[in-house]
Amino acid sequence: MSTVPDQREPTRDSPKSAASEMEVVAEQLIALVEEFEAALSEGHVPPAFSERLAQLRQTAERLI
Amino acid sequence: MPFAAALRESLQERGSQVPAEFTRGDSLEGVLNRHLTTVEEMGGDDVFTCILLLSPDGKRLSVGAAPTIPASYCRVGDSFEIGLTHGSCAAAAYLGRPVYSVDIETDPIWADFGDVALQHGYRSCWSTPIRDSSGGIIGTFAILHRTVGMPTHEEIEAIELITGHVAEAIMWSRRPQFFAPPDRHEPGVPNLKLVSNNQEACDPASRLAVLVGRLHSKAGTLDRYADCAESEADAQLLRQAAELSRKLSANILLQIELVSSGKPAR
Repeated sequence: MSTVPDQREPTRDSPKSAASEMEVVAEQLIALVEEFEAALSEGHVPPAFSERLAQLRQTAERLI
Repeated sequence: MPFAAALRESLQERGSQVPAEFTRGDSLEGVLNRHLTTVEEMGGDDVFTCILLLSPDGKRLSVGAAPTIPASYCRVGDSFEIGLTHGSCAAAAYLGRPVYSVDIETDPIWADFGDVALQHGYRSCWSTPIRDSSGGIIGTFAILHRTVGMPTHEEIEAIELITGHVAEAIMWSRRPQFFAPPDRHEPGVPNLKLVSNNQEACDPASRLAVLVGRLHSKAGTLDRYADCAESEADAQLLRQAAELSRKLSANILLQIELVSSGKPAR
C-alpha cells in the first residue's frame, strides 16, 4: 500500500503555515499591483508583471 | 462601452458605497434594492429582478429585495420551501445551480407557482444561487421577463457579476467586522497610522480582515484596468489577477472564521 503523501497534505496538516503563506501571497499580489499601477492604469501589462503574476498563481494553487 | 463593462463599473460603484450604507444603519433590503435598481436601469424595460434569502436551516426562501415586482406577487412567495415545483429560485436553491426557465407556462418547475407568475405577466425566469465565501448557498438572484427566452452568454456573465456583488453585500450585512474599508491609499502618500492599527497587529482576525478589504479593493481596480486594456491578452491577464485576488480573499475569510471560532490561524 502506498504511503506517499498527497502534495496538498502539508496544507491540511499545517494550517498555521498555510494561513501564513496565503497572507504572504496576498501581500505580494497587492504589492505587485501597486508597483505596476501606472502602466496597468494605462491598459498596458509589462512582461515583469505577467511573470510575477504567474509565479503567484502557481504558489496560490498549491495553497488554495 | 459594452454592457458587461458598464454594468461592472456601475456595480463596483455601488459596492464601494455598501460599507457606508450599512454603517449609517441602512437595512439589507434597502442596500439590495439599490443594487437591483442599478441592474434594472441598465437592463431595459423587460428586466424585473429579485433576491430571495435562504433560511438558516437551508429549507425555505423568503423575499430579500424586489424593487419593481408587485407586492401582490411577492406576498405569494413570501416564504416557501425549496424544491422542484415552486419556481426557478426554489429549484436553483434546491439543485445548487442556475435554473433558467425559458417558458414559465410549460416548465414543470413552475407547477405550483406558474399561474401566479403568468397572472402578473411574467413568462421566463432565470435564477442563480447566491453563495457565501465558503461556497454555501445563502439565497438566489432572479431575473424575470415578460417574454420567453434563454439568457445569452453575455447575460450569463452579467448574472454572475451581479450575483457576486449581491453575495458581498449580504455577507457584509452579516459579518461587517470581516470587511475593511476600500483601499483609498494614494501612491506616494504615507499611510496614516490609526489607533486601530495596533489592534490589527495584535488581533489576527482584525489583521486578516484588513487584508481581505485590500484584496477586494485591488480586485475591483484590476477589473477596471482590464476593461481598458490595450489587448485582449492583457485584459485576460488582469482578470486572472482580479480572480486570484478574490480567491485569496475568500480563503482568508475562511481563515478568519477559524480564528473567530477559537482556532488560531497562526
